Amino acid sequence: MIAKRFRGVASVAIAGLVIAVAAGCAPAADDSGSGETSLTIALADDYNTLDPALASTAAGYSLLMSLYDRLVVLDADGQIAPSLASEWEATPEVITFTLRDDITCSDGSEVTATQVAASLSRLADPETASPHRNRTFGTGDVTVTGDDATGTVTVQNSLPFNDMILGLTAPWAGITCGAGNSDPSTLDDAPTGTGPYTLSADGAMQGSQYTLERRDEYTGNPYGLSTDQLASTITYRVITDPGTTTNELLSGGIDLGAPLPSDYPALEAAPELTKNELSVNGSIFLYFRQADGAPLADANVRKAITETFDLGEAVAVGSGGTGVQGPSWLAPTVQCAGGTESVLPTGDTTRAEQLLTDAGYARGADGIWAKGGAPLTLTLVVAEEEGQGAEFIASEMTAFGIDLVIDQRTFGETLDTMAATSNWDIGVFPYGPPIGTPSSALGYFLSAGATNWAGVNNAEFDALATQAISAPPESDERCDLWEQAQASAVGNADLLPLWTPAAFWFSGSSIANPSDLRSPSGYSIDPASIAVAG
Amino acid sequence: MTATGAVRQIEHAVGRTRVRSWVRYLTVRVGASLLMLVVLTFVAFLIVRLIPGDPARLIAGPDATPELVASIRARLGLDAPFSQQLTDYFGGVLQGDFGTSLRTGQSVAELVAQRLPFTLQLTIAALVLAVCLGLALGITAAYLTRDGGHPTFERAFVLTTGAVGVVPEIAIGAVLVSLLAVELQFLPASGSSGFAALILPALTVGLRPGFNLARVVRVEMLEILAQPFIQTAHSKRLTQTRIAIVHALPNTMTAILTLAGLLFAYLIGGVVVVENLFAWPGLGSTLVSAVVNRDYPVIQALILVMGALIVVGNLIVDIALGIIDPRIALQQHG
Repeated sequence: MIAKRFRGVASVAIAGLVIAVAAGCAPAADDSGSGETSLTIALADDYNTLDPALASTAAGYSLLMSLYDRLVVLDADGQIAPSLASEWEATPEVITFTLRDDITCSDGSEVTATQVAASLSRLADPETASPHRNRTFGTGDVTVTGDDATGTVTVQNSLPFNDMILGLTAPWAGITCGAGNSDPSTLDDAPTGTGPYTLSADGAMQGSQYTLERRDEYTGNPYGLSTDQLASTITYRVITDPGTTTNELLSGGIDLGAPLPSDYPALEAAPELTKNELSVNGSIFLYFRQADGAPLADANVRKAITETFDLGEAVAVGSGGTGVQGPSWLAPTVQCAGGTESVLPTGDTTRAEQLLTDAGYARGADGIWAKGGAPLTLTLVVAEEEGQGAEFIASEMTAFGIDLVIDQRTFGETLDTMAATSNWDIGVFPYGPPIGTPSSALGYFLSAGATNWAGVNNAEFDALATQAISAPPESDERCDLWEQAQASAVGNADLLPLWTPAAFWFSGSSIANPSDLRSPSGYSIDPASIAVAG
Repeated sequence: MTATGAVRQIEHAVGRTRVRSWVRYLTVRVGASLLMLVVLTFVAFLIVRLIPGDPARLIAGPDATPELVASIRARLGLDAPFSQQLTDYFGGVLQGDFGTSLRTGQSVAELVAQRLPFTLQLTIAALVLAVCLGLALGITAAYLTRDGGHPTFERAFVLTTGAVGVVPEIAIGAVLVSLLAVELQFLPASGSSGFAALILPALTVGLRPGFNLARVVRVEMLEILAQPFIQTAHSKRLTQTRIAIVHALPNTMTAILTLAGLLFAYLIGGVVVVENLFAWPGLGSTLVSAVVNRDYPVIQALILVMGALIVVGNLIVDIALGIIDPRIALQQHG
């Protein structure tokens, strides 16, 4: 009797467990026939804040783009396209935007030109200490004014900076409104914005997961999707282990995620998944410390070492076969990238020998190049992520006769070493700006640049870059000047572009337009560009 | 004085001695635990400052001007002298104030309060699993293999427990996820939604110590089963289950409890890797993220809290051991 009762209880318990487990394993996307659709997206990192002016992580940008629309966005061809602004007029110093008349704020308040101006003024205000301030506006003083009568917003810069309009397509230029404008400290817990989604308090835990709910009154999707095509709920899950992202994609636990390249074959074999490549803005380049007294202060020595290895092979090894050769510090997809084909090194070791000889070096009996008895000893600092490519380059340089020391560190330490010490000669610089503008890395190469850690002093580059940033935004002259500036920097061996990494995302069948997903940087996807299937 | 009175006096004297021994035992144990917490607090403060990398630069990004990096450093209090940072830290800890996250601005105490239940949930689930598995396997193996019985089973037991006992959690987790989440899609591969999500992380953390515990339990049980009082129990025709549970098992409790204390400490360490693997929102995954982002206050607090869990766990085990076997308190401090 007891045994029978126990069996009965056990059966119920097991059935309950199976139901609970099955419920926990429900597919990520759901369309129960009620018209409600949901997506689950993996974030590789957490956000630091939902205040757009201060957010600084790729995960944060995904959330920002869900909550706050920008005045303009980039279209599939990398050109400026309307969003909250229906039209605009731009010069290097002034941009005047005309706003759409149907913009709504998530808290129901009115979105006026004054509100938009207040949101952008905060980003431009040095007191806000936004890490994106100079990226967006350059170093000039900026005034943003709104005219509610005409529905226009004017951004006035005291210095010419024609990348302003590109900067305003970035996630951190998202427009806040309502309570978030009057008290930005509320943005973290109760963000009020102009974007297609609002943050739900249900089940949200920082560092774990966030649920966003579609605003049904939202209009004006910049990518041409109707509000009904967007998922009614998006759950962002923080999954920092890329292997876990792969498992979740394969088991249907998430609909969109960026796994490790080593897992691509397994994911490509899954018929329900689609692989999508998203362009990134930055590139990995060699940055040469050329301060007075440093071995690489001599341009001939810098040029010589760039000829000691095959650039194509370095690109293939360093990017695991998925990246492409970058033209400069810019990725090939960034506006005005290029112009350096004729000055890139060709792996000509004979030229390298000649250049070193011209610089006063001679190869010693031990095969190491030396000058005045002192061997050419260089320290190459590299972040762990780029270790494989750096090892290839180092082995080629060593074989050529350079006494090379590899100093492999974390990304943060690599930056610290280059920024604050002289304990390096060559840095494998992992440059990944969250938005692609030609001026994005200017500070590293301008002789008076605030981040000119290498001590670059290239007057020709300084002049060309200054002219380029001041040219009319839509003119041919602008890109011509930028290409000349890139050729000057690469030709002078102030940097050697290596590879532009590829960003691949895999999506499940619940996403209807995997090839149309839009991203400012490849590492965060604009949810307004995701159409849900069914 | 009558004989009865003398006996009572002796009993009182023995009682007083026991109470005194217990007070001394507890004082020493609690005092040592408090001292360890103080040392831990100091070590946590020092360790984070040994992690290379400037958190202000990480927050500001590589493009940031030196002025912006300096202003962020000042805002975070990282430009204050070392001694002042240390004083502020100790003062805050004493008031339960661990500061705010450098990265998110969230109160660290609030963060710990949010994450601690998840870590405790996972650790306790894994501990229960390990102890149940260890006891069930160990006792069964002892019964089957005593007096040289079932040599094939013994070999299989030694081989299996030995093999699983040395496999890293990350490998156990990978196999379990691959089989139960990816292939069979029976359990979620990660996350913290519902009981189902707890099963794989708990198995990943608990299997290895469970198999190791089984080996210990078997050895202990074999020793107990060879004792004369067990032979007496057999001669009374008591059932095997009764002999195992009522007579043999309690005699292994001292060893098992001691091991459980060590296991708890081991599991707290183990969850750091496993929480990250399963995107389980506990202290471990938070610690990994904080280290990556040089989030000093969070790292300090988590080292302290996780260390405190181990210290408190061991204190509880010590007290439990003293209760189960009073000779421990008497012998050490009598």
